[in-house]
Amino acid sequence: MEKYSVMIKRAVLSLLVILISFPLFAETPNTVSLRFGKQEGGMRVVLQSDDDFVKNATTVTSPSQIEVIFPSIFVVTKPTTFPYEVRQEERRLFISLKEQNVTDIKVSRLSGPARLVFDLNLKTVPGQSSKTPGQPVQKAPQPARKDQPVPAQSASGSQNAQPQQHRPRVVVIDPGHGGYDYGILSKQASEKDTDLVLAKSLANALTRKGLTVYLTRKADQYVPIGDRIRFSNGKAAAIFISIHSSSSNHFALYTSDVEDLNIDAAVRPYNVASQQRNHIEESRTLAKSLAIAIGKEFTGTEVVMRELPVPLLNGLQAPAVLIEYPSVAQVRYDQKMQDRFVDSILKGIAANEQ
Amino acid sequence: MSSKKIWITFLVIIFLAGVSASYLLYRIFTQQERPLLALTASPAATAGPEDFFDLRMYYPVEGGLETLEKRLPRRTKQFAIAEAVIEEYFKGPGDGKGSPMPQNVSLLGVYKGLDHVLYVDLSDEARRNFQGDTLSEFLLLKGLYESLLANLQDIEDVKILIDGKEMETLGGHFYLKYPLKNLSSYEFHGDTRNPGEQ
Repeated sequence: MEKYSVMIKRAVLSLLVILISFPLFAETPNTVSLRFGKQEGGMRVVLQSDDDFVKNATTVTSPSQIEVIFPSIFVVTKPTTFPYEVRQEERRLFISLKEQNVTDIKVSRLSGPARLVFDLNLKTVPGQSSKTPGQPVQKAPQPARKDQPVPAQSASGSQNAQPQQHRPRVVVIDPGHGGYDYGILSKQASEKDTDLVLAKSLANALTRKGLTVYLTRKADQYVPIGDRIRFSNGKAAAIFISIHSSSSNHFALYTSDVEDLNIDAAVRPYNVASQQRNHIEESRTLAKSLAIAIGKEFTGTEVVMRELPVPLLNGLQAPAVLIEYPSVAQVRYDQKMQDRFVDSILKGIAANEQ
Repeated sequence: MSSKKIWITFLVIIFLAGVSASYLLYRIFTQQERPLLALTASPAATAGPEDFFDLRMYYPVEGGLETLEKRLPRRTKQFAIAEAVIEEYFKGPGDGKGSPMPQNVSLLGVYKGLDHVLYVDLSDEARRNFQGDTLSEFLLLKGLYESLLANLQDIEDVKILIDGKEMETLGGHFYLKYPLKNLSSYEFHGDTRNPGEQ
């Protein structure tokens, strides 16, 4: 009986040890420490946690919100003076930036200690010309001065006035994809990076020509389609060019087709195509000018024009074209290729002005 | 001795309750939210092998949609037919032509709303592994919509969910925020090639 009692005691003890140690194996939530500091013209927000936790986090930013998706549940600590609303939904952390005049967000991932850094650019001067999020790549020095010599455009009598009137003042360039949206991937490159490189090269070239150029994204961040549309429309763009990769070896230029949408009463609330309706002919003319210029520069490479109800194009209040360059899986976009691409787009825009 | 036995029994009960509670808590915290599947593959939904029915499928092929008839063991329930359509769409048209869907995508569920919208819940691989351009994405969505509408009754529209959630876009070109009818009603008129040479 005593032997039985000892056995029972040992069993109970073992079970107790297991019971006590069991919670140690359960998942403990990581702690994310939020800090912030004000800088000239902006604010830096830092989220600090363990290496793997930060490394595997996904960020989605827009001018109205920062969203961070962590790999597992977490507890966030923040100073009481933090000015923005912070919300947590399981693995997601939301920082609401609404009505905070954020014009641009730069995201970086740093180590030692591991942290996500968000540099917010804040609009400091009220009443400035830019009323919507985003910043110009460079402010052009006042394009189209009256005394500027203008080459004769045609045989018509009016020599100077016409070309200046058609010259686009503001160009919005939209590098496709970004953030967690990689686009087409190859071993050497991703579409989102190539889109950005080509867009920046084009922006710099257009700025040198005296135009005011805006990019819908200047860093590796996801920008929702709706934000891209609002941004461009807010800048009163004269031309909108979206840059993407094709999945084959040809160039493709897309314009919207707002006429052929079969819109009935049931789906009318979803229709956002009305904005482009007033500019569709200009968009088609621009696409043709660009296609011809690209075809001349890249002889032997097929250039196709397509009309599709692409939501991004549908919503734009400007002549708008989406350009797909030959796939990053088939073509290497080194400096020479970038220059050729940019050069052909410049020629296309110039031809469109005539 | 009798009180000892009561003690031991009590401790064992406490222990079992503790283990159960810990296990439950562990499950709750580690399992990420997963939408309950409205439907899983059900062998009971299929009839005998000699009884077949035809599916009319629309596959993206070379810049357009190709129509194919596929013969499968009969299914009577609408959800089973919806699953069969999506599975066949995943497989692709065959004859060496690949699947229009990105790699490793799985169907998580098919739901039907009171508004006669069919909700197709796909795994996140649909978004992450999509490797297409604007036209590919358009044809992928249109092909899936047309295939489902051609084979299902009482369905007026199709909406794609990713991991049980509404996502903005599949491949960065077209909205998933809205049902596909409006987009899919558009007829692609083909390419204008090399306009400079015309």
